Amino acid sequence: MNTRVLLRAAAVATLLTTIGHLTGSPHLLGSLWDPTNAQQGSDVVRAMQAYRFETMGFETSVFSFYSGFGWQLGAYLLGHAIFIWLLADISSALSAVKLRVIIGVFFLEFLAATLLALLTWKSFWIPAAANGVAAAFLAAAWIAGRPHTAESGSGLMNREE
Amino acid sequence: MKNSKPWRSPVVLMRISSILFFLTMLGHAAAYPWTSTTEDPRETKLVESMIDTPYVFFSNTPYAFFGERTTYWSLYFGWGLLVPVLLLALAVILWILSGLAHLGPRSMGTICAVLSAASLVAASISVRFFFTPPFLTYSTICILLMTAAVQLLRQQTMFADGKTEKL
Repeated sequence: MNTRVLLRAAAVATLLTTIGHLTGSPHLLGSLWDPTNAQQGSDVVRAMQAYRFETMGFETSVFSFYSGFGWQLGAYLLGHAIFIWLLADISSALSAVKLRVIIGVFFLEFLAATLLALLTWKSFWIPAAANGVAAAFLAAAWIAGRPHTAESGSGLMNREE
Repeated sequence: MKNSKPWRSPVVLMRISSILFFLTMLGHAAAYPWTSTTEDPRETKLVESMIDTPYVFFSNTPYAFFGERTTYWSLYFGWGLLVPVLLLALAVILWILSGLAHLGPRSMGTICAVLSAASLVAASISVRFFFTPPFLTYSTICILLMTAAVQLLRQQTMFADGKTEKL
């Protein structure tokens, strides 16, 4: 499998992670961030909304931070999915060394996300698995992008004209 | 295409955006563990209840994995840790790509536009859920990357003669 296909697979895995993440948003489909079906969960969410504190001169709540982090991650995951898809488009035009540096940074990012998910969310294993799949595709793309196996690119010009 | 004002070149704009992403990451990490700094007993109680309350997904029964359960605190804390990882990766990759910007204007312009749109969303989230400093940094990144994207998309590729040199 070539680098381009593997990067596209990583982009799709990231998009699915984004959809899974946003599905839990209290403002979209769901109830995962704010489970009204669980009484204890509802109580803690109400407490998070009720307790307000001041930071940097602005009044906010723990629930605002909680929702904001969730939305922010959703936005950046979606951005990453598109970014990796576009990287796949230009992969054959990049030199193998530069392409592997970029894929390597993405791989380390998703590996860190997988480890963080495992260490902090414990029993909630789905995000770790989702990030792990994307990391695996990126690792495979990094290996496939070795200089002697890299595709002979035709340059951006031919592609962009 | 030579830029008469080098400080406005896409490369410089992308590098400034990269630095702003890095500074935003530092600012976010500096707020660890993302609670207030006061010794308010109400907050201590809230954090304890977040630590004690299992996070339920897909069923009404908390799921245990190797005896461990996800709690509201672990979810909140994990997201807090994940945000700087994403920001750092974006800062590094944007810096690397800035060096290739003039060689593949259309592709890099599209990437800049996507990141600009993501930063616009982040800026609006900052207004709604956070406070002014992240709003300012994300808004600035949005404007800089959109400017870089417009410039790049207007440019013609350097290799108009069809050379196949690798980036």
